[in-house]
Amino acid sequence: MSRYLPEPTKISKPFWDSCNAGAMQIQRCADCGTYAFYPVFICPECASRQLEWTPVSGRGSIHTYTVAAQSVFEGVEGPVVVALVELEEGAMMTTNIKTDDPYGVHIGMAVKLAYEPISEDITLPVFEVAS
Amino acid sequence: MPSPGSEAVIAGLGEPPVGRLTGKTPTELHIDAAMLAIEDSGIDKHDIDGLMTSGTFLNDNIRHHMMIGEHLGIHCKSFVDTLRTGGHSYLNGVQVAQWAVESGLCKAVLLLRGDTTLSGVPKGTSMKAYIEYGAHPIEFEVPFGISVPGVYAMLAQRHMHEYGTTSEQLANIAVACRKHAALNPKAFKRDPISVDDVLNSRMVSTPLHLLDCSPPSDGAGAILITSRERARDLKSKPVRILGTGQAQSYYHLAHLARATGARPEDKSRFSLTKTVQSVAAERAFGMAGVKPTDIDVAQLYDSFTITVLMQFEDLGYCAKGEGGAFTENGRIELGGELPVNTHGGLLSFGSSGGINHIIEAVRQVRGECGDRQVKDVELSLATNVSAVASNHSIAIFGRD
Repeated sequence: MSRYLPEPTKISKPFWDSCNAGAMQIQRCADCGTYAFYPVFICPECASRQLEWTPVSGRGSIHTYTVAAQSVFEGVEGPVVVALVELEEGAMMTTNIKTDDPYGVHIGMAVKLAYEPISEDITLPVFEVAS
Repeated sequence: MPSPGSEAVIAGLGEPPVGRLTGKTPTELHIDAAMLAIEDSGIDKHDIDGLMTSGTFLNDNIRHHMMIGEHLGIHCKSFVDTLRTGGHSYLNGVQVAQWAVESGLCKAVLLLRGDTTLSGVPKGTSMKAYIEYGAHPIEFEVPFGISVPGVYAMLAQRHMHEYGTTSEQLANIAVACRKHAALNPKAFKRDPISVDDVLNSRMVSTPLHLLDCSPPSDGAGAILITSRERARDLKSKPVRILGTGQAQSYYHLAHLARATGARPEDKSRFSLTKTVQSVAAERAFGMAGVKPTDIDVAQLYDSFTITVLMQFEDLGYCAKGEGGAFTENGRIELGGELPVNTHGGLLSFGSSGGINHIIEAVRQVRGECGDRQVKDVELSLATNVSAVASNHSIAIFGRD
């Protein structure tokens, strides 16, 4: 199976644009302060429409992960670390941990945002182990 | 409460062979299962006025129930649907059928499942089919290489981190299912396995090994639901539906982990390892007026070993975090405190989706399970689970 590329939508385009620019932004609710991810039309906590695209620090930690021996995609070499990362701001995102030591990854590990261009139009937000 | 005569009961079961059924088509399996259930119950097919199917892996068509209804010659219905909540569609369907019968909307409802996820899916194409079926969020999870085993592996990893759950404890579940399958002549996988066999099987996605994952399998099932009064004129032994419950949450891991949108006071009740099954369980046990420990035998949805382990906690058999210990000392095997998946489960009986768990739960109440029959079953439990352990339905069955 060839790699699935995200297809930005009306609501997610600002997110993917910010990743392409190497400065990821996610939505922050101006009313209750919640950082929302994935992109939403209303704040999932307080239903406010006052959502502002806001840069994040890029610091986070691993909430959970798995090391898949093989990638599900042709042309991507395994093992692949798929992780759920909790950003310092509180939101979480599914991502990859890019590391030479995939089996050394653990829950709670500090990670930092990096960018992986996978096509002309798409850059994935991925994470590296924070030194 | 319905009036005594209108209470919905299970009055017919159909279960064609499972495993590798080369040459069978999903439609054919629906028909085989339906005809077996009609024969089992002795109902006149013209009395069936409710029909639910669930589409199939490669034919997720909104008119699926119409196509099957036409094949069966079940003409004018007063309720139909193609259920689309994945593996949990079937206990969802049992509850909907219960409402349809008890409200007077339907006289008899036929609930069907049939698919060839083993022989009917060309090698190397199943992952793509899963993605196109909508198994995972296509924009924010799929591009990172998520897979069905991978998602459940992430739940297992978190459970191990929070509670010290071990791979051996997960393996106990696979071993129990296999022991039970060995007593079931219909089961797909019957060769005995040990905990070491599970631990030495290929690591698919840490911490889940190959034998922690249910294998692809062809299979089918049919359940006929009608009123207690009408069932008295039928030939099968009716089984009561004493309690039902459902609860569904999300499918993006990030929102599941944070219980996004839940009432602030409820957020600590839910996480990747604390599922909304606890809510469905409260409803089902409450409706039946029984406790988890009153149940004689349980058929728990087992897409993966971790799927079962978390249910011991969320159903109320043990405290959160003690699901691992619950699997030990033969407690979940025949002869133990809570025999689980006496047919062998998805892990060893085979098939796909949750309909066969329901069929086995009803059969245990009827007392038709041969070598794997639990003695004097008064109450049996079945669960269905889908998505990221985030769609749940439960039913408690009892003797008429």
